[in-house]
Amino acid sequence: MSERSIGAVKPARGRRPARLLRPLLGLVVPVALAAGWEIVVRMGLSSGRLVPPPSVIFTTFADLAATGELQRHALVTLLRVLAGFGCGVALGTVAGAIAGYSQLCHRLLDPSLQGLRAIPSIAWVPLFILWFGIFEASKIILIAVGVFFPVYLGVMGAVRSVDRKIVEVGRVFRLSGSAMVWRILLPATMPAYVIALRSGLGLGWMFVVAAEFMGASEGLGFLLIDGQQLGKPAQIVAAIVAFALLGKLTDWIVASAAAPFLRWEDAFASR
Amino acid sequence: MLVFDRVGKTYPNGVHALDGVSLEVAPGEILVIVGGSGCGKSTLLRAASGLDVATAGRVVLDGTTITAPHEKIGLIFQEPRLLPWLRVADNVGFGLAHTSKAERAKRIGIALDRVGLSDKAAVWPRELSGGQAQRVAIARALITRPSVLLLDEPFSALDAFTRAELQDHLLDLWEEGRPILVLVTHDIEEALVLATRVVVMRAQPGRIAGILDVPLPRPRDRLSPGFEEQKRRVLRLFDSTLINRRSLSQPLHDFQI
Repeated sequence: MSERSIGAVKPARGRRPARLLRPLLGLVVPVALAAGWEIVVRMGLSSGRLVPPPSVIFTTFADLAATGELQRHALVTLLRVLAGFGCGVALGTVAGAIAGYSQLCHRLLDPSLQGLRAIPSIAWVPLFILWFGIFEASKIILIAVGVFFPVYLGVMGAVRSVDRKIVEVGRVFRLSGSAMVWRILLPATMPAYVIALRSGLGLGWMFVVAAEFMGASEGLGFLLIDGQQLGKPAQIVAAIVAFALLGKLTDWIVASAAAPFLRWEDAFASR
Repeated sequence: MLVFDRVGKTYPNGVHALDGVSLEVAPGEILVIVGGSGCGKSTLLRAASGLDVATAGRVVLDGTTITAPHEKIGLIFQEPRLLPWLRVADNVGFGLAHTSKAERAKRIGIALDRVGLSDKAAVWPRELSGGQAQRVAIARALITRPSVLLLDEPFSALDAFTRAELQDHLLDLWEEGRPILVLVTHDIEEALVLATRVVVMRAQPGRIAGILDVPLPRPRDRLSPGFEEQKRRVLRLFDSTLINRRSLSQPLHDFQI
C-alpha cells in the first residue's frame, strides 16, 4: 500500500516542471545554432558578411523599426495580403459551397477549377501584368488566386463529406433549404473551413512575396529585393523575420477567432 | 390511424426489398416489427418516415399520404445522431425552431426532466454515454409532440442493462401521450416487452410472415411463464419463415442503412 502510494506520487512530482519545460525543448536547436554562429563571428572565424550573426540582424531590424521603414513596408504587405485573402476567401467559399452542394454544379465547375489549380499560380504573373498592369490590381489578384484554391477545395470537400446521417436529422425536422445550410451544413463544415482558411492564409503570405518580386516600390518583398541588390543580407533576414512574425500572428488571429465555434469538436487533438 | 397500404420498394439496382406490406396501426398502439437482416423492416420504417418513398403502395397517416417527413411523425435512429456542435439542451430543442425563446426553454426543461437528464443540459453530446445520448435523441423526437414515433432498432447498439432500462423508460414516456409507436428490432424479447402487436417479417422480398397480438398485462415480467409462451409463439412463426431454406443459400442482401 505504502509502496504503491510512493510510486504514484513520485512521478507526479517530477512530471509537473517537466511538462512546463517541454515546449521549450523546441528552442534548444535554433538558439544553440544562433548562439554558435554569433560566437564563431565574434571570434573572428568568419566575417559574417553573407550570413550575418543574430546581433547584426537584430540591430538591422531595430534600426528599420526605429525609422518607421519596417512598419511602412510591413503595413503595405499586410494590406495586400488582407485584400487578396478577402477576395480569395469570398470567391473560394462561394464556389466551394456551390460545387459541394449541387451535384450538377460540381460536374460543371470542378473539372475546370481542378485544371486551373494544376497550374502553378506564379505562372500567371506575366499574364496578370499584361492584363492588370504592374500596380496593386495584379498583385492582389495573384494573391487571391493563391488563396482561392485551398479554400475552394476545403469547402467543397467539407460540404460533400457532411455525414448523410446528420443531414437526415435535418430532413426529419423538415428544415428548409436555407435552414439546412445554416443549422446543419455550416456548423458541420466549420472545422474543415477553418483549416482551409489557415492554409489559404499561408498561401496568401507566400504569394505576396511573389507579387512584390514582380516590381514593387514598397512592401516586405521590396525589402528583400532591395537587400539583395544592395548586398545587405541582414536586411533580407530582417524582412524574413518580419514575414515570419506577421504570418504567425495572422494565423493565430484566424485560429483563435474560430476557436469558440469549434469547442464542440470531439477529436484526437481536443482530448 | 397509420395505414401501410400494399407498400413495396424496389431499389434502382433492381433489389426487391419490400413487397405489398399492408398494416393498420391504431392510435395508442405499439407495433413492433421483427425480422432478420434484409427482411425490409427498416425500409418499411423509412417509407413511413417520409425519408424514403415507397415504389409501390403508400403510407397514410390520418388521411394524408406520406411523401416527405411529416410534422406529426418523429423518427429515432439506431444511433443517437445528436448534432455534435449543439449542447444537449439545444439538441433537444432542435425541432422547436419556430417557438418563442421562453416557451422553447420551458419545453426543453420538461423534456430533459422526463428522460432524467436535467443535469446534462449544458453538456456537449460527446460527453454522454451511449444510453444517455439515445435518451437525448428520444427527448428530441418527443418534444414536437408527434402522434407517431418511429424507432429503427433504437436500442440495439446498447448493452443489455441499458437496453432493458431504456425499454421501460420508453414505455413510461409512451404512457403520457400514448402516441403510435412503430419500432423495428431483431430482438424478440424487446418486441414482447414493448408491443401490443408483433409483426414478423421474412426476407426476399420483405413480406409479413405473421402478426401476433401480445395479450400480456403491463408492466411485463420478462421472466413470467406467459412471457416465455409468447416468445415461443414468435419463434414458431420465425421458424415457418425459414422453411424455404433455399433462400439461405442465396446471397444475403442487407438493406439496412
